[in-house]
Amino acid sequence: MPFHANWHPVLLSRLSWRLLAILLLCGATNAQAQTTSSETVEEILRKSDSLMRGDTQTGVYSLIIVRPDWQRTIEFEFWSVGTDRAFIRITEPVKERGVTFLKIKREMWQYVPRINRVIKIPPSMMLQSWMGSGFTNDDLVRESSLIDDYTHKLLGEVETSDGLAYHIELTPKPEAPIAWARLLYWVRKADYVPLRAEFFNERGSRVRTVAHSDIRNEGGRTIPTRLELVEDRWPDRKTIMILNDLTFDQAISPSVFTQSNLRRTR
Amino acid sequence: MALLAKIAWRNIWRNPRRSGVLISALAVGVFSFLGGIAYIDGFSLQMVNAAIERQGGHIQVTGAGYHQNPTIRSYVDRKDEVEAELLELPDLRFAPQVRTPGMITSADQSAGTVIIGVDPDRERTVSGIPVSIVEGVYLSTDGADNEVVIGEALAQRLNVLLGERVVLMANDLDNEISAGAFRVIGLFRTNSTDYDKAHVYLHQRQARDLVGYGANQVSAFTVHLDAGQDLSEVAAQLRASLPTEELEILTWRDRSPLLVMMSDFMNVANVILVIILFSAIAFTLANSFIMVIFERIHEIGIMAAGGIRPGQIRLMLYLEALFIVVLGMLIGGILAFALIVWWSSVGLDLTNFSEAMHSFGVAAVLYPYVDWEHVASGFAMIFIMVLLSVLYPAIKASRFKIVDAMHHV
Amino acid sequence: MTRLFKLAWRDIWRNRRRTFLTMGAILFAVLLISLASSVQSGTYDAMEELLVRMYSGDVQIHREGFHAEQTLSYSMEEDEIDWASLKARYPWASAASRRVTGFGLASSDSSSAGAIIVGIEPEAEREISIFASTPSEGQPLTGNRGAVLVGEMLAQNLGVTIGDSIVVLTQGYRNVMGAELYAVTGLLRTGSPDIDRSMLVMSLVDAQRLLAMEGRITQLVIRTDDFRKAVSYAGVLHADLEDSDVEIMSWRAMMPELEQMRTLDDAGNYVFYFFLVLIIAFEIFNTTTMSMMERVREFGVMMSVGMKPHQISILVALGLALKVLLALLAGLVLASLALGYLAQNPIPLPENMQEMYQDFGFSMDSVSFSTNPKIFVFPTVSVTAAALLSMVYPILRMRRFSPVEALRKT
Repeated sequence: MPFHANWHPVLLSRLSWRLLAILLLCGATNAQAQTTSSETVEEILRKSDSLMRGDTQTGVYSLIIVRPDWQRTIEFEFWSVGTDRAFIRITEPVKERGVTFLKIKREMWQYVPRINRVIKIPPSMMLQSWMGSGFTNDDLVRESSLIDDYTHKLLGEVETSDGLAYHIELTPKPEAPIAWARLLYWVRKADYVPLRAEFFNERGSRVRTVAHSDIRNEGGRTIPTRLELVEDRWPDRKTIMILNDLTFDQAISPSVFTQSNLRRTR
Repeated sequence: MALLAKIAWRNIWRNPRRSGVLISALAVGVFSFLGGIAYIDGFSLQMVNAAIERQGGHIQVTGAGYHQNPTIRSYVDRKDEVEAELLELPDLRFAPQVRTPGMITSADQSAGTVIIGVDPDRERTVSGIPVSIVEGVYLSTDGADNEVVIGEALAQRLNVLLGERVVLMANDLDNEISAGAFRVIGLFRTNSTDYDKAHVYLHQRQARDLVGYGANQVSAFTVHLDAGQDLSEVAAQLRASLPTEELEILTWRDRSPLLVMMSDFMNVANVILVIILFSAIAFTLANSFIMVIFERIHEIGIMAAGGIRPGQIRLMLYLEALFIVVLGMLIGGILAFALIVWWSSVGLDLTNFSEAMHSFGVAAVLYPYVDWEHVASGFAMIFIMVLLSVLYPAIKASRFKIVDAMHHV
Repeated sequence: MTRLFKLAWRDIWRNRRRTFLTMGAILFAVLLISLASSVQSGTYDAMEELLVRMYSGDVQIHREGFHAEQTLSYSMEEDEIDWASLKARYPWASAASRRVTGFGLASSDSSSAGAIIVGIEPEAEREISIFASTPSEGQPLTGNRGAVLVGEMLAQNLGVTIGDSIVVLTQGYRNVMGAELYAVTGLLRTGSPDIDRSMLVMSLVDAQRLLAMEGRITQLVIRTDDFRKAVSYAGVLHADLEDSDVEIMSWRAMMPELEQMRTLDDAGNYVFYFFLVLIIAFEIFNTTTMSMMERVREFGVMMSVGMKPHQISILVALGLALKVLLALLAGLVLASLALGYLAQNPIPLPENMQEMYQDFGFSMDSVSFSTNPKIFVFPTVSVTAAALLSMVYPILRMRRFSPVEALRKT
C-alpha cells in the first residue's frame, strides 16, 4: 500500500540569491605583499593569494552570468573590514538597485527598498549551492585555505601569454574539506599575479577552469580584474566577475557597517 | 456419554473416506486461513514499517520542539542518560541519530541533503539502510575514518564512484559553516529514489563535529518496535521514565497524520479481506458437513429405528464433529506452522518472479507475520462455525420420520 | 452428442441439492474472489487518488528536466501549451491549471524559514488539488493579489497567523532577486509534515512576479476524467506534443514509489489468492468427488444397461462443465450486483477515521470497492481452472468402475 509522504528533495532544493550573501563571508585577510628572492612554493602561493586581499577593501564588482540564450549582469559596490564586517549595495540591474546587504560577524541582513523591509538572513540559507553562477560557496568560503588545506608542488616554470609563470600542483590534505582531487595553478613569476586555476576530479578529468585576465593596477596593486569561470560540463556557460575602482587598506567609516546604512539611499 | 463418545469415535473411522473429506476440509481451511492472514499481516506490517522507518521510527525521542521545527538547536542534551533509560526497557530497539540539513559536494556537483550521523551497531537494529547497500560496505563500528554511505541515486547525481571524495557542509551551533571531507564507502538503494537522492549517512562522531555537538548530544533517538509491542504503551513508558520537560517523545501517529490516514485505511481493507477469506472457509466447511450428514440420513434413520433417542443422535453427531474439528485443526495448524516457519526463514523473494521487481531490492522480499490474536480468533470462529453448520442438519436428521429416512437415498 | 447433452442437462437437475451445493461452491468462490480483488483495487485507487489530489494532479506537462532538477531554468511560456485546443481534441482532458513552483525564504518580524512556493490559478486549481479548496483555517485563495496560504507548521515556526504579513525572498528566474510582502489569509493542513512545514500557496500572478517569471510557468497540471488512465493519457499527449521540448508525466511517473508499492502488493497478493483459491478449489473438488461417490450405484445401473464407461465420463464431465459455466455466470452476475449494491450502500469507515479525513480536507468516508471490469478477470480464470482441475480426479476414477463392483457398493 502506498506511503508517499516524503517531499524532502523538494525542500532541500536551493535558493540562490545567496550568491551575494556568500561573497560577504569571504571578506579579506591580512595582506602580506612583500617579496623575497629564494622562495618556497608555499611562499609563492601566499604572496599570490594576499595580492587580492587587504585589511579593508572597497570596490565596484560586476558579476556576469552568461548562458547560451541569455546573459545577466549584476553590479554592486562593496566594502569590507577583515572577515567580520561587510556591506554591499546593488547598483544594477535597475530592478534590484538599492538592495543592500550587511554582514557583521555571523549575522546578516538584507534590505529591499521596494517593500521597505530589512530581513534577517538565517545562516542556514548560506549553505546552499550557488545556482546562477558557476561558483559554489565552497570556492568562496574556502578560498583562504589555499595554503593550509593543500600540499603544494612546483611543477616548473612555463611561458604563458601573460608572461613567465610558476606552474603549481595543489593536492588537498586528506582531512581538508575539499572535493577536488587536484588543482593546477599558474602564478606569474614577475609579480605573483594568479593567472589560472584548473580543478580536477578523482578520475583525473578537469571539471572547471578559472581564468584571470585584464591585469592592471587597481588600488595600488597589480592584479587581475577579470575572473572567468567555465565548467567543463557546460562549455557554453560562463560566470565572469569584473573588479573596478578597488581600494585596499583605506580607512572605512564605521557608519558603513550599520543597520541604518541599509536603508540609506544614495 | 462415554459410550456415545466411543460410538462417535468409531463412526469416524468406519467410513474413512467421508471423515477424510471432512478432516482434510478443515485442515485445508485452517492452513489457508493461517497462511492468508500471515501474509496480510506480514505485508502491511512491512509496508507501514518501511514508511515509518523513513520518517524517523515508531517513536522519536528528541529535544523539545524538534517535530515542529527540526533544527540542530533542538537536541537531546544528555544522551547517555537517555540511552541508559532506554536500555532499562526490555527488548527495545533504538538508535541515536544526529540529523541536520546540509550540503554534499563532489568535484562535479553539489546537492542539498539530510545528513544523518549514526551509531552503526545500534543503527543496524533499527534501519534497513545497512542491508540496502548495493555497492561497497556500511559504516564501520568505530568511525575512525571519515566515511559516508550515500544513496546510489545521489552518487549518480554527484558523479562520484565508490572510494571517491565528497565534502559535507552544515551549519554548526555557532552559525558557522562547517565542512569535512569524506570517502564514499557504500552506496545504498531503497525503493524510494527520492529518499536515496537526499540522505547521507556517516558516523555520529563526525556528524557531531560537523554541527558542533558535544559527545553527549544527539538530535534524536529513534525507537523501533517489534510487531507485538504496543505503540502507545511503550510511548507512555518512555514518557514516564524520561524527563519530558526537556524532551519530546512522539509516536509516528503523532508525527504524520497522513501516514496514519493511509495505514488505517489499509487496515480496514485488510479486515474485509480476512472476512472474505473466512467466508470461503466457512462455506467450505458448512458445505462439507451438510453433505456428509445428508449422506448419512439413511444410517441415522436406522439408528432412530433401533430406538436411539433424537437427543442422543444429536449429541453423537456433535461429538463426531468435535473429534473431526480437533483433528482437522491440528493437522492444518501443524502444516501452516511448518509453512510459516519455513517462509519466515527464507522470505518470499518476489524479484525471482518478476524482472520488473529487481529494482525493489530487499523491499521485495516478503515475510509472514503471525499475530496471535488474529490466529486465536480465527480458530475460535472456525470452531463455532463448524458446530453451527452441524446444528441444522443434526436437528433435521434426528427428527426425520423413520420411514422417510429409510427411503432417503 | 446432443443426446448426451440432453441427458447431462437432465442429470444435473435430477438431484437439485447436489447440484446446488456444487454450483453454490463455485458461485460463492467467484463472488468472494471478486470482492477481494475489488476491495484491494479500490483501496489502492482511493489512496492514490488522495495523493494525486494532494499535489501532483493526474498528468503534468513541464519542460524536460524540471521534474529532476526543480529549478526555474526548466520553465516554459505560459501559453506554450495550447490547452484550449488540447481540451477540444481530447474529451477526457477535463481541467488544467498552470503553476509556478519555486523556493524562497519566508520571513516574519521574528524569524524566517525556507519555503516551497506554489503559485496556482485558484479557479482552475479547484478541480486539480486541495490547495484551492478551503484551507483548515481562513479563506481559500481568490484572484486577489498579495494573499498567501501558509502551511500550518510553517506559520507556527514563523510566529504568524491569519491577518499577519510575511516577506518572501527568492532568487527567481535567471537569478533575478525577488522580495514581496504578503498577507496571510489561510493556513494549510494536509497531514504531511513535510508539506505543512514548508508550503506557501499564492496566486499564479503573484508567484510569477515574485520569481521573475512573468509570462512563464513551471507546470501545466491536468485533470482527466479518470486518474487511473493517466499513463495512457500521458502517452497520447506525448505523441501529440512530440515536437515540443516538454516532458509529460503521469502521476505514476511522478510518484514511482506508489507504483512500486502497488506492483509489489499485486505480486504479493498471489500469495493471498493462493490460499483463497486453495480453499475454494478444495471445496469444488470435495463437492464433485462426493457427488460422484453418491452416484456410484447409479452409474452401475447405467453401465449394466449398456452404457460404456467413457460415455459416462463424458456425461459426467458435460454435466460438471454445465454446472461450472452456469455457476460462473451466476457468480459474476451476483458479484456485479453485490458491487453495485456496495456502490449505492457503501460500507462506512469508522467515525473517528471519517473525521480525520475530513479534518485534512479529503473526502474518504467509506471502504472503496473498485468496479473496474478488470477485477473479474482473476476470479473467472482462477475459479474455472480450479473447477476443471477438480473434475479430473473423479472422472478418472470413474473409468475404473466395473458395473458389478459399482452395483455392489451401497
